[in-house]
Amino acid sequence: MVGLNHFLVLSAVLFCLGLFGVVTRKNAITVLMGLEMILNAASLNFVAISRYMADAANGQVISLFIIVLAASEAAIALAIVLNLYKNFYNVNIDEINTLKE
Amino acid sequence: MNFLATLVPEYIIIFFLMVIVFMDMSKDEVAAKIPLVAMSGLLLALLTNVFMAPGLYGTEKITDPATIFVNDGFAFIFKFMILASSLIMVYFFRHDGEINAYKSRRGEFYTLFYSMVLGMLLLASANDLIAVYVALEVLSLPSYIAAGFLKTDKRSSEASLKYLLFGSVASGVMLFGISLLYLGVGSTSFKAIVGLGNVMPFDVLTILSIIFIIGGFGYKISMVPFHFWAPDVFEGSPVSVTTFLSVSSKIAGVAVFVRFVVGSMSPEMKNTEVLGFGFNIVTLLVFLSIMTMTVGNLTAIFQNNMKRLLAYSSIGHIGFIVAAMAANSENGLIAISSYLLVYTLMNFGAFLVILLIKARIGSEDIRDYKGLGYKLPFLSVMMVIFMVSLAGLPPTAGFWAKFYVFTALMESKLYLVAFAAIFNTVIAVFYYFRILKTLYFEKSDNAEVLPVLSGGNKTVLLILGLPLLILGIYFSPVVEFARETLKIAGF
Repeated sequence: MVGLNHFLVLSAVLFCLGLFGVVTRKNAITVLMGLEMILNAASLNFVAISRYMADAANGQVISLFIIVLAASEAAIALAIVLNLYKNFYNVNIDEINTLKE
Repeated sequence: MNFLATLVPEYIIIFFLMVIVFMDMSKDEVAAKIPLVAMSGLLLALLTNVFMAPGLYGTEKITDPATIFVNDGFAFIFKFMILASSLIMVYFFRHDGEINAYKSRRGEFYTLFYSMVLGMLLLASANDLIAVYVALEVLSLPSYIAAGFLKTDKRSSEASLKYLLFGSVASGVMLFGISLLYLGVGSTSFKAIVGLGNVMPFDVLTILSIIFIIGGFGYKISMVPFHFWAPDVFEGSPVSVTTFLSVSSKIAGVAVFVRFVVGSMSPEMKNTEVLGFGFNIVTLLVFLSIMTMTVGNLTAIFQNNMKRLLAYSSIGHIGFIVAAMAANSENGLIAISSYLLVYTLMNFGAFLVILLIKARIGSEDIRDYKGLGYKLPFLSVMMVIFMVSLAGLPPTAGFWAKFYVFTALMESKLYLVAFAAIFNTVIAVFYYFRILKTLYFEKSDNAEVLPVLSGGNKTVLLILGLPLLILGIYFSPVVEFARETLKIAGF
């Protein structure tokens, strides 16, 4: 029987993987993928908790909000990365270092 | 009264946002009027906010957990600051050469600006963690684009990328923290968190979630472990966007941070020891505030770029505000509101001077400011006023703002922070006076004659500078104003 704990462990693993990706990856696009994993971990948490614990469907509504915001965030992030590529011909975070003399 | 009926300033902003979008689509003559419309929309929202305030007096404390946005006195004073500062921002935009170079993208810029204002207003009155998250994103997403508004400029697009990466990760982690708190409490409302504060299992998971959430707020106000984005973003963005991010956006961040710490945690919870070692929320805030002011001020000493210097100095100021938050008393809250009012005036002034100097000598490096005291006498005198106020020295309002923070700290017996704050004020004097030394005591390399200021520039500088001097002599109106508005706080 699948219970709340299974979901919580899954989302914790997803969160850690996402954070690991954000911290270690050098390519801006891969960092953004890690970010999506963090957001989805939170979204999964909300749905699971509201299904198993809370009375109202609050958490499920919240996850809808998160999906919309994650989509708009991804759109803006990709636009910024694309513009960056036009300027630097590169999306490696370590090599983009013109600021701070 | 239903909370939806109290959000009139927000509705006005949304309406004008759509008007600006449509104006941008029509003919050029219409699109040229956008700044004017933007200004009148903000003025209307500001007036509505001010005239609605008396209706809120005497309102009972809001205890309904279903209220996801509250428009109480605390929200009022922050919305007042946000709208007033945005109104001055329009003036900045019109004088920022970097932004005006893109005439055809004027409408785009004002749309972004209006969405940011909307996010800030929502953030100031959010009373539910999900509302906080949505408002934070409404504010953050346009700011990422605005930081990179100069599309062909390498520095601007790099600033935009750094802001995007730090910001979206911080808000993602914060969202995960909210989901953990939802697990502990079963609700995301601040009121529900207060109610359950005494019975809720105060375990590692809850502490972790609170740290994640504070991290999200900390990024917005650039508190120290989360401040790495600030100097780079402030240096790379256009000056006026930097001003907006460093003043208005931080005001909104502080508003929601205070509401979370004060409004959602009962006094018992704040002083409950967790994980041993005498660790509780107050000690966490004390630790963060000492770190923030020390790192901010010490790093500011070594900066030569003015925008970067002000970024670090604003990190130092945030340290003072977090310290006042740790004081955990009514006087602490009054200190926060009055500090932010003064902070707005003096930072706007300093940035406007930088903007106007950049328009004349084409540089924002301190080493290029040599001898400007004699070439641009009026600007330099205004710079002296703003710098003395930022340093927190007596004839200006900056002194009193810091003084009330000290008083609140002494009352709450937080002597360590008070000591750190005094130490930091001394460091701050050093680097602010370095600028003044460059302006007046170093010889300029050339003797070119620089264009003089227009009457409008002088007026706006005086509007920002004179209150600092007047309030420096007679500061009690600000404190009384802050005290009155806190009487109707929803917490």
